[in-house]
Amino acid sequence: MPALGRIADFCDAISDATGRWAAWLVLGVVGLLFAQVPLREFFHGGHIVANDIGQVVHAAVFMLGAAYAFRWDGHVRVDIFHQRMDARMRALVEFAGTALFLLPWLALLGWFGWPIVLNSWVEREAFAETYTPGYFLLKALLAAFVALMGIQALGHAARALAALLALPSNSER
Amino acid sequence: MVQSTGEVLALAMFGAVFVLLMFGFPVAFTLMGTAVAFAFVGDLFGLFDFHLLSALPLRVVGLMENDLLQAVPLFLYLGVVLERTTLAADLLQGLSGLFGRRAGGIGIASFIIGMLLAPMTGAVGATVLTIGLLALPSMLDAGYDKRLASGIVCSAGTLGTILPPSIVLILLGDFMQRATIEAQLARGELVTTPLTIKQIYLGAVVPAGLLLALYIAYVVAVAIFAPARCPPSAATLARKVSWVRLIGTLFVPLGLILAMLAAIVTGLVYTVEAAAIGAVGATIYAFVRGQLDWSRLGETVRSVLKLTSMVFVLLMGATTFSLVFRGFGGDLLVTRLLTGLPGGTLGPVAAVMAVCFGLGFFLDALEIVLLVVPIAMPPLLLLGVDPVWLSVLTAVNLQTSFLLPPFGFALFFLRGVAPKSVATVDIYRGVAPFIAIQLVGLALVWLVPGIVTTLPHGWERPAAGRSVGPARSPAPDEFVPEQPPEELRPKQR
Repeated sequence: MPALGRIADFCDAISDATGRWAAWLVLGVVGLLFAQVPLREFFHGGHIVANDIGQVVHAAVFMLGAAYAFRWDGHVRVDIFHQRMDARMRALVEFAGTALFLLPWLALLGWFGWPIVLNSWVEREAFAETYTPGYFLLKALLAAFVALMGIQALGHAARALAALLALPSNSER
Repeated sequence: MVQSTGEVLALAMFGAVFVLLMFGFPVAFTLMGTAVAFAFVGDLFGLFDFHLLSALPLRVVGLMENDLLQAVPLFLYLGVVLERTTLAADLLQGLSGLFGRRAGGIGIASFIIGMLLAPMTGAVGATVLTIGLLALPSMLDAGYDKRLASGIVCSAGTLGTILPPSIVLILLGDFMQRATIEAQLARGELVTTPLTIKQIYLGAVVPAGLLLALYIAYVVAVAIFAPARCPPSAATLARKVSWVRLIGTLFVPLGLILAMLAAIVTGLVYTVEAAAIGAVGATIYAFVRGQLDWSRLGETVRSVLKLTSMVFVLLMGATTFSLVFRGFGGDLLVTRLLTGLPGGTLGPVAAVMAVCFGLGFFLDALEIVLLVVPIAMPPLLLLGVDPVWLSVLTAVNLQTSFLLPPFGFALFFLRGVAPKSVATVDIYRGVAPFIAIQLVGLALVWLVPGIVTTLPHGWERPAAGRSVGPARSPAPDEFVPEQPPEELRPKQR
């Protein structure tokens, strides 16, 4: 089914685009946390705001990057038996795992999470201890994570399903 | 022993997750899915309150704002820069060159590379792959005994579990810190001295140094008594080593990492800041030496993005799993089982160590820490076991299990990169002396706890206000029965 393949390609493209962009945030984390010492010791200010921004940027790295990591198979597996499986079995594992494990969890996170994200956004919630504005952005990352991972999971399931349909089953061989 | 149907389900869930992990679907997702499925079934039969899972988003937010865990991407960045540029290869060459015509040079150099690289990758597998690809060919080319060479690569790769600034120790410390607060509250004590990552680093310094020294001593002994097993490489013999070049390639990165550790341990800067300084230093150094351009830097940050996401998604999976496990009352079951064991504190500790050791055959260090520590450590701490000692013992224990044939994790990964000429039996025989060294280290930590506890508890300045622990309160978390009074919490930096 070429349609399944096209869906998977489209989802991969979204993950690639966000991942390639989000990766540069790593340098932001390095820079902002590097700036802590000089800001605190020599300028006696700004380090708190820099720390808060650093926190959001740090969170953005993995909340936006998780789907990219999934797309490039970056999430660790126990591959003792996985290596010995045939292509059909592997595709079955990927499809079932995505549909039964990952997607329900994401749905739950989204379901319980959206009121939290929404409230925070409406209030324009600030950091509790430091009053730096922008804390709602951190919580908004939750929504972005669910959306991006959801898209990648659908793409992943589509690709696995396409492989399952294309490969002959054991009994036919 | 098992008192409720909920506890049966908790045990069943733990068993189920191990079976399901073997299918090879990503560990994090398997943890998430198994926990959600059991929660759903439990809720159907009135054994679990599905609404407990509404804590999930706040737990993920807690992971996002955990200050200590910011060190993870920074150390990973440092590790990837060392790995991606030829810095590591230069180091290996430079260090081996130091030994000139003497035997054993590449072997000792491999350990030093392991010492620098391993703590920053967070995974034994990744380090064994790196050192295996880097040092194994040089050793085999030089004519090393295949067994010795494989033993060196495997044990150098496992150093990351115990050697500061080990990412494994950071995560262990993060969980231990929460477990300590829980145990102190449960005993009705005031939380006055939260455990810090600095204490754990200090506790690990002596055992890690000892193990490294023993490893190197073993290679030196082989070099003296059987020099034919580890000859110097022809390339080293042919090339005149320039001291200026050597200092450039060697002492800058080495000094950078040592200075970083010293800064953390003396309390000059926070762990996270030291990691950032190290990352900036390594970037500048690599740029100056022409090893890093924009496209390489792009590859580096993408690689860090993937690794960081892997770690944090794994943490999300672990937090989901332990949430449901506790929802079934599994934590009470574990506490009851452990406190029921004979031998005072030693029986329960030995039991937990045995479980960790067994898991070391299937899972990498991170996964074991994530699965076992939140569940099994609070009861141990409640019994009064020293958290720093427990952390270091766990780390050394895991490190040993990764080396043990036939399933040791490090051995698998070496098999993956080793040429066909190295037989699996060579690998098994090669690690034997290193396992013996590990067992000596493990016995020392067990029998002489002072080698772990003296440094952190003696050196720690009282209430210096510069603790390195996560500055924010623990994640909004229903299992910490109540927050300690505001003034007793670790200071916001």
